[in-house]
Amino acid sequence: MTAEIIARGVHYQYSQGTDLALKNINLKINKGEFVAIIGPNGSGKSTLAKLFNGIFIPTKGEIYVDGLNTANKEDIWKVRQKAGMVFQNPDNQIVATVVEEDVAFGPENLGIPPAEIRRRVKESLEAVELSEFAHKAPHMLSGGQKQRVAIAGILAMRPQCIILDEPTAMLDPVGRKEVIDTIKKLNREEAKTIVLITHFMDEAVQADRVIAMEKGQIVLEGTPSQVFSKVDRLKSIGLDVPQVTELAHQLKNAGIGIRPDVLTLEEMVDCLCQLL
Amino acid sequence: MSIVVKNLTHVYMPGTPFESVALKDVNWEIADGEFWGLIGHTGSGKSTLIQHLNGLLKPTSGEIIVNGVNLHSKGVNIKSIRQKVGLVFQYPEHQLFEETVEKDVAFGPRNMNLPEDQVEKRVREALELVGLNYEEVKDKSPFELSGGQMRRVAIAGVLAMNPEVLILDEPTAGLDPRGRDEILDEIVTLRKRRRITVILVSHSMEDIAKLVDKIAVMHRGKMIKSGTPREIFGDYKGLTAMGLGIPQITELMLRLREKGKNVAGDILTVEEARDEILKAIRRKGSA
Repeated sequence: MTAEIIARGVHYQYSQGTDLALKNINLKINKGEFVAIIGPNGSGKSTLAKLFNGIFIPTKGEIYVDGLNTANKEDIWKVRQKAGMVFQNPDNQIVATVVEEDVAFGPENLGIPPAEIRRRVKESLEAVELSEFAHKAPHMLSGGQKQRVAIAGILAMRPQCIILDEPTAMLDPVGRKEVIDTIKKLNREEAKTIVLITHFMDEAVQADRVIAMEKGQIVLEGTPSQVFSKVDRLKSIGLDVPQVTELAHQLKNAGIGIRPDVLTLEEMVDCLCQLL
Repeated sequence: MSIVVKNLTHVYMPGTPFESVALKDVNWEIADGEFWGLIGHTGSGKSTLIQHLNGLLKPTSGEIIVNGVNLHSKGVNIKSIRQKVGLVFQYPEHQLFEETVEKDVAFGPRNMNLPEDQVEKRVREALELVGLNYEEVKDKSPFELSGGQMRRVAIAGVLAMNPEVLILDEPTAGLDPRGRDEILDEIVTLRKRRRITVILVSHSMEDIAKLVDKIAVMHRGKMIKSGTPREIFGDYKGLTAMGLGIPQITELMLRLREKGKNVAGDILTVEEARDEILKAIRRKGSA
């Protein structure tokens, strides 16, 4: 598999004399992979995300995006075009007064011809299933819809990779589901590489791989079942597990023979049906 | 402190092309000391409703009666009601504005013209209630704190008014799991210590299930249901149809029942589920 993003011995310090925000991060994210990054506040997740598209440059070590070193000033716009970023607050990311103009903002700045921009805007809005909102005002949309507009704006830049920093933190359950379904669809159908930073464990379990961070370091890494079966470890760093995983853990501790790596409701129903 | 909402209707921008009915004939009785959860999807009218409870919004029709007093009858001092009904908005840390934590939390009590020693006492207590050490944080700028700490300072600012009713609109939104649990634990402690009435607006059914005595469900401007968590979450189909969920653990038990397993369906926490399943396994073993 070819790598989309490589981090090699990355350290990051916000300013001299402060603690390292990231310590010796080594990481490879493959093309087409869906990776979730979890960790308590202040663990370095967002810092890492900002290093992935060159908003920050490592204090020590290197980040490569599709082979380009982010520290290389000439390549920075290429890096950002390859790895697009979506942030937490949809209201801070929308710049235009009409949805389609907002989506066109990125490609316009890349100097792309108008006919091509139109095609990209159309495709991007189709991909996030908001075509019928093309002429609406963004502020009239729901949180989940606004966040999908933000994703469409990134898609119009034709990135290979989309980095999302807690995109659902400010949304209600319906909006959260819309955004996660959109992300999964882009990963599955358009083979976009996805890096999702989240505090919601039910979102992280849907990724191919989960990376848990604490105090600037990667402390756990693996498939969702590998990571979430370490219930006590996750709790010790202030994280959570889905309720069904917690239940399996508690039943196991009570001497019941049950898999410790149950992640979803459906799996748990099957497991319990065998026991009961 | 009790609150009664009677036939409350609220229309935004009446008589304009933007007219929209946000609340339709809402009735709600909150008894002194109760802990309520208020649920409903975005746009269901939750925020409009809670802004009526301390007089920030005026009903288009209907009444809000706080401790027997109609908020909008003549001669009622709405300011004194606002001090008793504390409202913590979503992302309250966006409202921090003072140079120091002490000044920010003291803003309310100072505006009430309390003597300085009283102000200090209240600020100390309020910060302590949200798990912050007065001496450690009082001279800091609120803006150099972490997100979770800023949220706590903002909540302390409301607590410093010694409210008898505390309304929190999504107090844990955007926090990490530990920050979320800490804030919720503090609300529970606060309730025990001050015996105040609490209304928690939340999208997290897991949190609601763990904490509250009663739940009110808003849908399209109407309060369509209220009851205990077991009653409300028992109606999985009804809630899903409204775009709401139930705690994952409750859903698990209901699914097991659908498959013909003999377990209780009104389960709210992981611990309850564990005990119920252990019992069922033992029953099966002895059968």
